[in-house]
Amino acid sequence: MSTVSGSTSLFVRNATGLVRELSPFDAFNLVFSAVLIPVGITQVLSFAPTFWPNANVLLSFLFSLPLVLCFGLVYLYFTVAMPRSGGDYVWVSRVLGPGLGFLTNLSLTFVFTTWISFNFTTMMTLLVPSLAYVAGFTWNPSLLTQFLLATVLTIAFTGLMVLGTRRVARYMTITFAIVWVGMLIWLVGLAITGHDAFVANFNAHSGMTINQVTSAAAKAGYSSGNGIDWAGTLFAMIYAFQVFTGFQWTGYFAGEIKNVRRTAITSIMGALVISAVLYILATLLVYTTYGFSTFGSLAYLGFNTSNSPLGFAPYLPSLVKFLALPGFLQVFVAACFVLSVLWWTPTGFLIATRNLFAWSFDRLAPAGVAEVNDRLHTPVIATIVVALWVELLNYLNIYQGLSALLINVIAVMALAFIAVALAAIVMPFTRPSLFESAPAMVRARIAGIPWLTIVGVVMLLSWAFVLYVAFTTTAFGQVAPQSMIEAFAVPVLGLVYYVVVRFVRARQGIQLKAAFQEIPPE
Amino acid sequence: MATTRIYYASDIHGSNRCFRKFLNAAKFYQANVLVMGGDILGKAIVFLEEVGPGTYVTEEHGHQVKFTAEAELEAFEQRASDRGLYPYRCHAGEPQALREAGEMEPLFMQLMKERLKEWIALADQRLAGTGVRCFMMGGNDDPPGVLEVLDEGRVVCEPEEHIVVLDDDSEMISCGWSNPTPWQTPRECSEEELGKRIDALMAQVKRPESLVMNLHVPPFQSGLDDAPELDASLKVQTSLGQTRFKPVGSTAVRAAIERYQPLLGLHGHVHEAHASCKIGRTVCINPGSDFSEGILHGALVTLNKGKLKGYQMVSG
Repeated sequence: MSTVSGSTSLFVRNATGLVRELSPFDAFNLVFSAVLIPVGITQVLSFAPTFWPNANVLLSFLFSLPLVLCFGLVYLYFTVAMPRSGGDYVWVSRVLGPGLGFLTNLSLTFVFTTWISFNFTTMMTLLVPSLAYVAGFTWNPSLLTQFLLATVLTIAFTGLMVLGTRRVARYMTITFAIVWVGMLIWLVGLAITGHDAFVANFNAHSGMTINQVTSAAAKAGYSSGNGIDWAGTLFAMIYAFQVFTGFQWTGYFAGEIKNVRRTAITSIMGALVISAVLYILATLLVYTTYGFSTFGSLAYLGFNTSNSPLGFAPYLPSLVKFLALPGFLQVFVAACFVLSVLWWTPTGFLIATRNLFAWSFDRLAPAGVAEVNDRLHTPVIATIVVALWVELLNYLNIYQGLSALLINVIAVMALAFIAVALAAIVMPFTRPSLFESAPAMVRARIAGIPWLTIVGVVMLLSWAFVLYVAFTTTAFGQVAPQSMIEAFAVPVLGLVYYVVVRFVRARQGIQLKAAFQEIPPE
Repeated sequence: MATTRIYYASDIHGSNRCFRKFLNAAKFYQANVLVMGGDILGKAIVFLEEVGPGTYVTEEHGHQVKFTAEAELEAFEQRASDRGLYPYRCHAGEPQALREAGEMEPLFMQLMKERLKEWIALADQRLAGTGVRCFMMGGNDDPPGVLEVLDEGRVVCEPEEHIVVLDDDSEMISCGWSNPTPWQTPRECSEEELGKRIDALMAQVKRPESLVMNLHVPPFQSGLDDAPELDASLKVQTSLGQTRFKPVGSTAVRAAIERYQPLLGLHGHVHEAHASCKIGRTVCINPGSDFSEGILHGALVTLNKGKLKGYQMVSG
């Protein structure tokens, strides 16, 4: 028999499952690797200026930080209370019911798979031409070429996933290292290139001068003379919210005996803070090196006019061409932006297949979906289902305008996180035994109100704000209503599906509503 | 009886709350058979050391805590028991003395027996006259010397090593032993020996096609046996963002299921699993375990005339 905890109060005997928990560093890596900064920063600093040209995205990140911290705290508290339960699907199912749990999980699965497809379609169409520009050639793919590229990528990653997790892990380790070397070089390049050097490089290599750019932008309607667009800055927070997500993807923290508080805090809050620092640092460097007004003019010309005089689209990878870096490093950095899209893809597949499995085990999806191939030991059927779904999204993104610069997808994500927030708000009251048996940090109160409830309220209001912005943007014609309808069709059809499945299972003697009901102990 | 509705749970590891839920599951889910699939005893003693008259110090969730009121002590003891721990009041320094004297193991056995006896008595009290049949066996983590208590009740039946007739059409065999684990637990054996135990039971089965196999350890590479991968120091291994899992189930159990093709396999052992699969015609289920959170994972299975009418995993 042995004592594992090192505590004098606890004597633990040798028993199955007694493990050394993740170190805080391990747990930090669990979550940090899910935060896709290169893609996120490109999206924020192109999509936000598209809708709100005078928004100060640096301030958007700063303003959103306390709100996102509350979001993180909800996940932290839930994780510490239920460290082995595997995430928001179970938490919402236990607190609000299996129907809402399924719809929340379905919505988030839609979001993750849309990100995969968005990366294969829209982001590749943005990033590869940027890489081409930096490398000195042109690539303007037709819709068919874009679709074929997305299809090839979908098939390639399906194959990789089918080959098994060890190969996937090796692939992700290698691409992670390359991408982050590239990102560090990019940040250093931004830091060492002063604004004057950027202007000189731009004037020498772009075919225009900065003065011509600012003149053209002003003529087209851009003005930075009125100061910061505060409404736009606040609205741009929705992209900050979107890019900060990722820390909630891990659900396993071991710890049947020991306290997972330290590990969970390090991983969830640590990753959130580090990614916030990097986003803020990168944005600050962009604004400092390129200049807020200059960057705004470039973005306005590139994303808000139909006949831009620029010879390129001013996405961040394109602007690498004007940094004080040797040419080969410029190409390497731009290539790393492209690679970052591909690096993350297996995570999206893993999350989607894991969720399909959960639905299957809970009798919400056919049992065959959760079969594991005997020879490959991988969930081939589930992977192919995800791939077919991604391919459908590829088509919708390219030919039916689904992407809408992610506004519609962010709105669906907001709906799902509102459900998680609701679960946090009511959990102390509707599941008192679960709440009262949780560690002290989860049970902490102020003025008698649980902190879990308070941060849940902040999270709910934050994501309700995101919904408001998304629908306002649509109402003002900046986003096609069709794209919103397509996106929200998923939770609506999911609701119909759940009702039908519940009826069918009831006839088989299976009561889905009983799946997460608590048995009274007394 | 035309329909047999089984509620199966496993790996509650001493959790008072989970056991109480287990007993109430029959009425809650309208089950007429309860099966507890092993690993029923707790893993840790938590000492409450008296450091002054009526003042006790102990640890909860990694923090040292002090109690001075009897009501606080009792509330802590209940919380600890609900999490599967064995609270034990003692004098200051006594835990160290017990360790040095080699008395920790006998104390553990005593505490495990006491709680198990309480459970058996509670089962007698709650299930008497209900018609609900209750089967409880030990798993690989449960010392044989404590499991003898299972024979002391009137309602609880210990099903290992014999054939249980569930109804006119279905039988059940049970085995709580496991294949080797990194922890050298009391009831683990070689795959060969495990296979022989199962074969010996199968020799007595009349209808293997409608048999329920209540085997604590799940079949190898079934998805029901994916546990966190560990290194030699028992540290969980991760790989860029995800905990690594590997199959740890039994090849002997898998071979038995493939050979005999029973109707149903009910398994525990791997708490993280929460999965089901089909091996040939056999449906295998592992509901998993979150006993330390007081959540009772289970599987509801309906048998009718020797056929599997339906199954569902529930989390109560």
